[in-house]
Amino acid sequence: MESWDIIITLLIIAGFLFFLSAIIALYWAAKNGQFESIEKGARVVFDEDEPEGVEMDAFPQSKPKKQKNHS
Amino acid sequence: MKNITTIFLVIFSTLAFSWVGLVLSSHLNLGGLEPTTAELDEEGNPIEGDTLNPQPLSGIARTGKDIYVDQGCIYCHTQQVRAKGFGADFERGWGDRQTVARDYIYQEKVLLGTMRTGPDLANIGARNPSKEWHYLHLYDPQATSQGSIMPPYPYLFEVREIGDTPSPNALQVPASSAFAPPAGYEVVPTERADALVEYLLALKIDYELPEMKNSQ
Amino acid sequence: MDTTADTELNKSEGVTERVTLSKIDQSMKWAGIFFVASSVVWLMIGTIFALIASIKLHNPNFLASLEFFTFGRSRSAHLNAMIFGWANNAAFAVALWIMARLCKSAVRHGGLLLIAGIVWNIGVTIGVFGILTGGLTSVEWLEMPVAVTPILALAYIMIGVWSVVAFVHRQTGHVYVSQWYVLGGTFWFPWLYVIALVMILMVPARGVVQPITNWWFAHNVLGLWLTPIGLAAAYYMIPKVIGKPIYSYYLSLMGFWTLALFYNWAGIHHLIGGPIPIWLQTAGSVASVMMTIPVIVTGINHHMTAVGNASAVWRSPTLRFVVFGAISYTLTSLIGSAMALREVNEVTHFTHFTVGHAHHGVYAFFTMIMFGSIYFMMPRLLHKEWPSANLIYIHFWTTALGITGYVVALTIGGWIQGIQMNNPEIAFLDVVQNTVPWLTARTIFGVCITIGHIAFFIHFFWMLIGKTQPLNEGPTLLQRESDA
Repeated sequence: MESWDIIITLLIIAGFLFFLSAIIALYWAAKNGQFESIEKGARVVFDEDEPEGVEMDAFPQSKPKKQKNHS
Repeated sequence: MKNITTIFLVIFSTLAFSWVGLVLSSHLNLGGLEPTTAELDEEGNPIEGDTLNPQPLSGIARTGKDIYVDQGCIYCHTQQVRAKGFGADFERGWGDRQTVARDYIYQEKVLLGTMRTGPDLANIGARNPSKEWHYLHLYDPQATSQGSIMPPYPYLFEVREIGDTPSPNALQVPASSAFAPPAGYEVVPTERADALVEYLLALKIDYELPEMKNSQ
Repeated sequence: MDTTADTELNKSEGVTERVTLSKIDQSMKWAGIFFVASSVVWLMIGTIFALIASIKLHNPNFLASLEFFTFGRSRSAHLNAMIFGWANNAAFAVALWIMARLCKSAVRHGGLLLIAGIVWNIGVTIGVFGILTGGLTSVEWLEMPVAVTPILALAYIMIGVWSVVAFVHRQTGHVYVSQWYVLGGTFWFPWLYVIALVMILMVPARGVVQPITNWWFAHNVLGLWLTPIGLAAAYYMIPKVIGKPIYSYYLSLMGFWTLALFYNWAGIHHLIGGPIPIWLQTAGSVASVMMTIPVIVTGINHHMTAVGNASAVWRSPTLRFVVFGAISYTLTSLIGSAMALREVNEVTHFTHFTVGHAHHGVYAFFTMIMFGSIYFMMPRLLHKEWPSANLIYIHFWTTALGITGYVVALTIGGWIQGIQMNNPEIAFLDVVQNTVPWLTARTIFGVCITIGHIAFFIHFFWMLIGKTQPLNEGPTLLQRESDA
């Protein structure tokens, strides 16, 4: 059980360091602009290959309804 | 490039926080529990001469526990009695008192369980001390408990031809059982069944602990 | 620095070397195929064990003389085949692929990733076989024999490194919410796994610290590994397929951080009423209730993105599955929060209600999203179309109806079981007998799901091996083939 005590002391210290780092990281993220222009970030899933405004999937053997109204 | 370290730390810290809060703190709180006597002296120390509880399992019961583990009994049976007024553990006679952290300190593997497809077994050794019942129940649960959905464990028994005299430990399997032996044959427990029954009979909460005074 | 990179990218000026999507897909091809193929095989193995275990609960004499298939073992083999075989392999494929695409960074040294995948699957195979032959540990979600766990931990780290490598080499400035989720899951899982192994199986902690660790671990495998990967996929697939950005990006980030903060305290609610300190149980309940924040936030977000586009959801195999999964996530999480309240827990604890809830989470939410993601990913990896629309319809309807019936049956049956178990007037064996009709219904719905899995299995290997001609134009293929 003594070895447990040493491990645990170390781990508690580690736990506190981690908690501290969370605050630092949040500060970094804010300063770094991760929370700015946030709505633009939502568009990073699109690019020229798979652009915004185009449906990307449909059942096989059926044409995707690209710009048409659905039938 | 530099960001990954920070992100790593944030993500890690959230979990480390809960780990410290839940796991480590309970380890500090409960990991040092020792066996004690039912009553304590004025300083809160065990009274010398009284029996210390809980007590570790005997050798054969330990082997039986390994069988309980490798058969996966825990997936239908708990080993914990909840406080009076929370569920019906008392009313069903599953134990005379709530189980507490100290009851589990000698268990190398704690089998609290989370399912009660079958009844709780924390106190089964005291509730049902009949060896014959346990053997037959393991061999064919329907034979002792009509309507049970417990799986039978015929492979923990040996069906063999009756020799000159029937074996003294042969099971009294009713003829209506789906696993009744053919005429001239008898069902004898293997060592594994012996150990498992020994373990079940050793599951008893038949002692008092000082913390029971406050919590029931 | 990152913000400037961002603007540069948006102007598509080639300062940083951009990789086209088809190149990224190509780099992921063999590892992706391997992971998905393994996951589909494990799905079938897990399904067989699920059926055996399910039948045994209403016909206990079924296969009774075979120790290999005894209930405790089949059930555990089912769980481990599904979680470590199906769910993890699918999660590796989908998470790494989404990560690579969002980072605009091709997978380097895909061969090493393939080897790591092979090691992982060897580990799972030995583990499941070990469970069936006497190595079952009876520690929930850690059932495999201890000896194989280092193999799994090592293979996991070798696989997880790829998402980190992709992230480090990312060509985009903004970190999209899916990337947060994938990174979170990638880091959380090994830490959970190793701690639980050490504290429960290798150097067992004393007494009830074991179950506390166990439930901290088991609940977090779902909440901090499968859930993040499922949500990462949903946040990628829904806007991607519809062609519109997510409703509120701000809410999505908030959902991530609140999940990260609350979920990992919630697992203790599995021990409510047990021999552990009351304050721990309370912490578990509070965290579980706090989980409604990320759940509602995420639910609103997915709903608002999909709401004007119901026909698009209906037209797309991917979105049918993903949206079904996203709705299930909201439902199952809210039910989960309710189950952590002492009054509700008093009824549902120890009953089949919990089993229904677990399947609601792992199947109706996570698995359905993985099905959807695989429908989107495979054509892009293989440059082939899925051969049959009918098989997709069969797959969708059998699994969607099957799991709905399954969850409803066990929820009702489990609730009745809990109420009756708390009423000492009713003999225990009667309580047991009253669960049997619901358990039988579970088997029937299980058969329904199995049909869907067989359709999926056939369809997947048909697509993989069969000679479907690559389509130049079509729903599931890239718009431009020039880089392929």
